[in-house]
Amino acid sequence: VIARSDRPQPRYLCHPPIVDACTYRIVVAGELGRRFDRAFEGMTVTAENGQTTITGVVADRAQLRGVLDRIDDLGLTLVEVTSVAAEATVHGTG
Amino acid sequence: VSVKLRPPPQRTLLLETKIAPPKPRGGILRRARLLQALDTGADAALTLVAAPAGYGKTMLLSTWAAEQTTPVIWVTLDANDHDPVRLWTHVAAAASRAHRGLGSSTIEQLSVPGAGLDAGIDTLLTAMAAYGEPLALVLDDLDSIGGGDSMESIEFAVTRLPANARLIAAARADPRIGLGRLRGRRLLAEIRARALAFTIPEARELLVKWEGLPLTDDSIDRLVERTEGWPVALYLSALWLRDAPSPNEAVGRFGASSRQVADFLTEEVLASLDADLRDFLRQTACLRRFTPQLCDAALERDDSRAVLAELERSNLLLVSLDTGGQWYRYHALFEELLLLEPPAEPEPAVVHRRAAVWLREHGFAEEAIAKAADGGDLALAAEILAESGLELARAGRTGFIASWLDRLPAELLVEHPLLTSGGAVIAAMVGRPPVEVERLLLLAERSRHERPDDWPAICDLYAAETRSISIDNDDVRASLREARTAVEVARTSVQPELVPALATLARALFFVGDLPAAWEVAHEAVTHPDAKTRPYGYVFALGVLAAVEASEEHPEHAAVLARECVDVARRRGIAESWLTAYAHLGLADALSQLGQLAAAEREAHRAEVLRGGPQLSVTHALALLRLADVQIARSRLAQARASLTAAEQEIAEFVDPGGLASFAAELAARLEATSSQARDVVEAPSPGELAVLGYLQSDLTQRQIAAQLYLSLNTVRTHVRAIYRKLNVGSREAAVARADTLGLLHAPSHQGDRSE
Repeated sequence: VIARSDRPQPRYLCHPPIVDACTYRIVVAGELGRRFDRAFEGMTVTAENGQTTITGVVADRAQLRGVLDRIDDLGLTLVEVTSVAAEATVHGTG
Repeated sequence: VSVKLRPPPQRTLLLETKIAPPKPRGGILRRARLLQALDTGADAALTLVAAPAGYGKTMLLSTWAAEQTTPVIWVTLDANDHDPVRLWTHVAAAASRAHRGLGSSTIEQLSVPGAGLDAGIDTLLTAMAAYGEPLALVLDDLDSIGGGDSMESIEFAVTRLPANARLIAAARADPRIGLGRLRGRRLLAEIRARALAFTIPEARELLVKWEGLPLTDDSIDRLVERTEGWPVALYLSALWLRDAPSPNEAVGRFGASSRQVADFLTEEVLASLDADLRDFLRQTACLRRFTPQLCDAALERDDSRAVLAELERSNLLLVSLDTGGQWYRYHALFEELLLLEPPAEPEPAVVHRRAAVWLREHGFAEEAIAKAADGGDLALAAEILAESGLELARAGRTGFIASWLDRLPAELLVEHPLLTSGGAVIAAMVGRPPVEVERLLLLAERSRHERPDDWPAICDLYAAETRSISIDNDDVRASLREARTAVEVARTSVQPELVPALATLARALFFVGDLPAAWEVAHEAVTHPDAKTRPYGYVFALGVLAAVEASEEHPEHAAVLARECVDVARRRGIAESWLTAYAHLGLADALSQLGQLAAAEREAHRAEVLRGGPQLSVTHALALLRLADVQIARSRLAQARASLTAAEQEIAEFVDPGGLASFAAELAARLEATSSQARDVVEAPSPGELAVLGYLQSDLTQRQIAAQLYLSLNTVRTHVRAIYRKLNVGSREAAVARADTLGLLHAPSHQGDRSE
């Protein structure tokens, strides 16, 4: 019997982000007014509890980079970036 | 059809907005501790002011610049400066503005299409070093150029900065210019967000002392806490509280709100303005940089000057960009926030298009093209590019032209044959890939086919020139035919294009082998009154003239012309262009005739490297043949064989290689004869002689060789004499070359030039 390596397999919630579209949740500090809906077109902007969550499908890393740059341009403070709904984008078949 | 040319542009006006520090506004707090930090950073090569939007980076640096008594070279970068030629042209212009003439040589060098960038930067740094007194180069918005060639060129400059100069860069993100290395060598000073944030005393100074707001210490604390000292938020607070009936209560409301700081404050400030002013801000934000006249034109109103004066008076985050008070922009962050709520009327696209028309009429071609595209009117963009292309090309903006030729759809390009044929000739001259040249030429062909009436004569000239030097270069007779057409058109209708056309013809005649005619034509080009203003054509023709003189066995003459050509090319920053290959070829030929074989081989190598585009193969094949020629003369037979084989492979692909084929055959025969001669060795050298032979490759004297081998000088002399006799040579170099050919040397042959 060949002993199996104990090293855990790398686990990516959403992999590989280079090519696959993926839903991201981006949290910025402070509640943003309605006019910011336009700043992140195609994404959902929800403000509550002193934070704003920007959620949406991002096609690839370049687009994610673009969203993050936009956050910089608008002087917003980035709190968190997570990829979500991995099943839906990676394993989702129907 | 006449060629429409615009009047010379008032480019200086807009240029001023890039190379002058923004005027420090009234109502801006002088931040002594930060100004002091900038002064103490004077020993560092680079001072980096890095913080997110709204931290007052530009304001700090412009205040600092205004207080300096030594020259400050200021450049505000934008996304278009990712083209390093544009970037450094601006830096050089700013240098000349800061100190008379400091950047003028660099501007001249960079204005030549396809010029060598590093040489231009070196020239500027040398001029800065020669100035001798302290000076500062400020690059504002460094992050806007991305991470490509421009950033690399800045890194190149930082490592070569003279001791009397310092670079101060403001950026939202740390630039990739080797910060770690600079930090390690203590050459980096940093001013970051934490330092740029307002302290409580600074906030009090701004709001209470300057603005005269009746704020309590508690309110000040709350504001600084809520804004985290973010400067733009505190300036917005000042605007907002100015009109608030009870400022302390308002601060309380702000403190209790969980809205994002800038969002909250912008909304409050905009709400306090009257509707017309608010609309004006929203309508003009998309212009980015504007004058009162541009606003009038874009918004179809006539009072923009008064409105802007009002905005400036009320300190509404308006930045004045030039000393003449013509150009303005909004604070970057404020502008972004304004753009979130575009006005319904007039639509931004309409504003963009009207701005494009105004910018075009006032000679700002590059900006006009960008605005036309922003407004969705690519046809207008193409039209402006067509009418300003020639002038842009002469200003060295070939990168800009190429990027728009790439971006504009073929259907639009077909309407502008001047653009496509002119673009093709530029692409060929600066050695762009042949697919690019061909695409443009095909588009030009389509134009001639579809609308023969809109085909100016100059397009015939451009197309013929492109075919002669690029597409048809490997068919020497076709190339000659095209070159004759180009000269004919130039003589009859486009006189200013005569110099490059003549150079093209001289080159074609040279490859056909008609040396007397090539000499006549090249001579006419270099002595033409326009020659000095057409660096490409002049260098091209002078190089061909040198090559012709060498072929006609006037080596001294050829060498003088070739050296002059290389010198001019270097001064105009095109020493690395394939056009200077002809000068190196002529010089290689001449030096070889004069017996300076090592130098000749070096020149042939240089010509071989400068092949430019992969299409320029007759020039490259000739360089390989010249190399083989010199290598045979130096008895470097293995290398000569490699050069000759490479040339023969290229020649086999040519449609009509002209005289190259017979030159190659002649070299092959000479190589064969030399090789068989080299095989007739009477006697093999002894082991002792071989040991000495090994050292003959080095630069050691015979006495030093004796010391190395623990032999007497006399023994070494005897060995050397025996080696010369056995190899049938008369000199040390010949012995080494011969031994190399015979495989008697184990170490690789020494590459030094003892023959000079």
